[in-house]
Amino acid sequence: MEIQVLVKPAPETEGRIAPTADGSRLDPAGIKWVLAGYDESAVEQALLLRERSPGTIVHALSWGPAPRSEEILRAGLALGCDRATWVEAPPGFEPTGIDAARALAAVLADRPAELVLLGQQSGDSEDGLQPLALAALLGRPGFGAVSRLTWDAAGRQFSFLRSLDHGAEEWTVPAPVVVGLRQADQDPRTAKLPMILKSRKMPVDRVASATVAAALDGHPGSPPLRFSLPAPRSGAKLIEYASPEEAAQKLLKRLREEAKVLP
Amino acid sequence: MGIDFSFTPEQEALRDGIRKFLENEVAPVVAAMDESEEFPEATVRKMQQQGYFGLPVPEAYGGLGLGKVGYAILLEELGRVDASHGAIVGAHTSLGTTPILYYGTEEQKRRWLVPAARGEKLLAFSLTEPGSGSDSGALRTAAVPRGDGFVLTGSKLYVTNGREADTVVLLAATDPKLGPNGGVSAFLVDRGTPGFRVGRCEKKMGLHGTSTAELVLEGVELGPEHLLGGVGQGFSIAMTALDVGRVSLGAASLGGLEAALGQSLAFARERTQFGRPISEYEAIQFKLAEMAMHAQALRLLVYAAAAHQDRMGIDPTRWDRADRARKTREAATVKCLASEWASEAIDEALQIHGGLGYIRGTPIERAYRDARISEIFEGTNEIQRLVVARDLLTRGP
Repeated sequence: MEIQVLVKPAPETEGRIAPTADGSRLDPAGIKWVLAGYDESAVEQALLLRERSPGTIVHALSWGPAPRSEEILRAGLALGCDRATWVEAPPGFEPTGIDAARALAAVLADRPAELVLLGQQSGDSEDGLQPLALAALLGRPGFGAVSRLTWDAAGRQFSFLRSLDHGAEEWTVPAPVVVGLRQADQDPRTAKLPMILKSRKMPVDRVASATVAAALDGHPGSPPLRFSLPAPRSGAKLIEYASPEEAAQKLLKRLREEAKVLP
Repeated sequence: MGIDFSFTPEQEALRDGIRKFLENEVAPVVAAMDESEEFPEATVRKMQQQGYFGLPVPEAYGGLGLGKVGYAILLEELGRVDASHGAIVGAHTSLGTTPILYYGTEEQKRRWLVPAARGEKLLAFSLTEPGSGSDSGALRTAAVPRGDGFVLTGSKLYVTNGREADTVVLLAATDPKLGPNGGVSAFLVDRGTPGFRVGRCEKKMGLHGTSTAELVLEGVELGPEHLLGGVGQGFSIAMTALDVGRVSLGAASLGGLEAALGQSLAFARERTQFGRPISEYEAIQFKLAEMAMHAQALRLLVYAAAAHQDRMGIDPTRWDRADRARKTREAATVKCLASEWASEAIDEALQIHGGLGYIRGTPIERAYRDARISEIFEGTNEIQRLVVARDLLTRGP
């Protein structure tokens, strides 16, 4: 059985970010890229599924520019993925949105994986688009917001929970399937040091951008008009008080007179 | 090849992996560990399983083969998160594995080094005695020949990992008249050996996660396979291990300094007084700048010393005299400056944090207590200055 697990590099949340000089997009220079949080859960779940069905191959796949995509694939190998494929993005393409789905689907179409597994959304753009767009392009069933993902011993069908605002649905679906994962069965593991070392020496297969060019043909990547950082937080105001009553009264006064959120 | 100060992609990946592990697994338990003063068994176990206890040991002996530079990266990262975990790894690796790796027979390496580097066994190192600290030649614990082995009697003090260690690299006097010049030998003493027991464990100002134990030896009989190196070679074995330890201790202090700087910078940006963030006041800026300058200088010192040790290799019989002296002086310099600059930075960080820094359980308060010992153990800073001065007066500047 085979799992294709999709991994995306996302900017480290604690790093400093800035727009490009023309203000059109996030400047990738100086950003430290890490494995997007939901994708990290997807890798964890893929490895858990492999533990339950020995012999399964977990194959990590990423679309994007070097070197960040290759680094993220090595992070996947260090966690325990068996193989890695880097799908090179054409120059100027930022790996996001429907373009990513088109490029990845072009590669996945030829791969007989029972499961295409990825995070339900990425850690940065948070479109939540990939699982369903990929499923549509591949002509396979697709689900987002999935947890408790299991498969039967033969890998013929998958069972899982799909979370909804008003509850949860239980599903059993025949393979092959595309799953956007909300949560793995356990917290994502951290890489063991010997595995980190081993991952540096393992091959990362490269699919040249020309290979997926046809899939992107007629869909030139277009940057947004402008990129801006979130407004800085104004900081907390502390209320000094001698008694709880005084604290409540002072808070009410501020909510009425300064914040004007109460009549 | 000129001077290249960059790390390899492998070393960068190693640092990232270590940092992530320590942030996820170790950082969350540190405050409770400090409060309970208990050995962090669960995190140590996990670190043992994930390769953290044999970093510089060659792969042939169960380690990761990452040398002293890789090992310094580990200690720097440990120093950022928790000095106790750093001391546990350091006592085991620098002081425990180094003597066996450098001076052990092939059989001793198989028996003691491989399981230690694989994380299956924990090591400690024991030199200090009630009457012998900086004057490490004045050991009273006696190793008297009997048959083809030895009988050890005496007591040792302040042994990091002493309570938990499976094996202790222990220094004893085989000829008290000779002192450090051939009168001291190194032994591998296993837990459970008849006559060997753990005595009192000290309560300390800091490093609450580590045990600091007294070891009692009452007629401990050891076979010849427990003697490390030759009879009388103990002092030189200990000094070689301490050269490794002092650089890694410097790396840990550097990590502590960097953490103090990071926390101070974040706090100074957030904390507003008189209508402005305190980072806008020169008094605070100068403190931050001083810390950053020391951190930059230390990074160069630590990794230059570690890289030099890597170039020298692990076979002491191949070292030339001048190179060995340089290594010792570098290690003393790194240890002394790093520990003092770290203490200074953490003191300033506490000042920047104001009253908050004095509150029990905050990272700065813990770091303040943890850092002080680095000016004392693995050779007091007075001894480090003596080492540098002696080398100055014999070899020159």
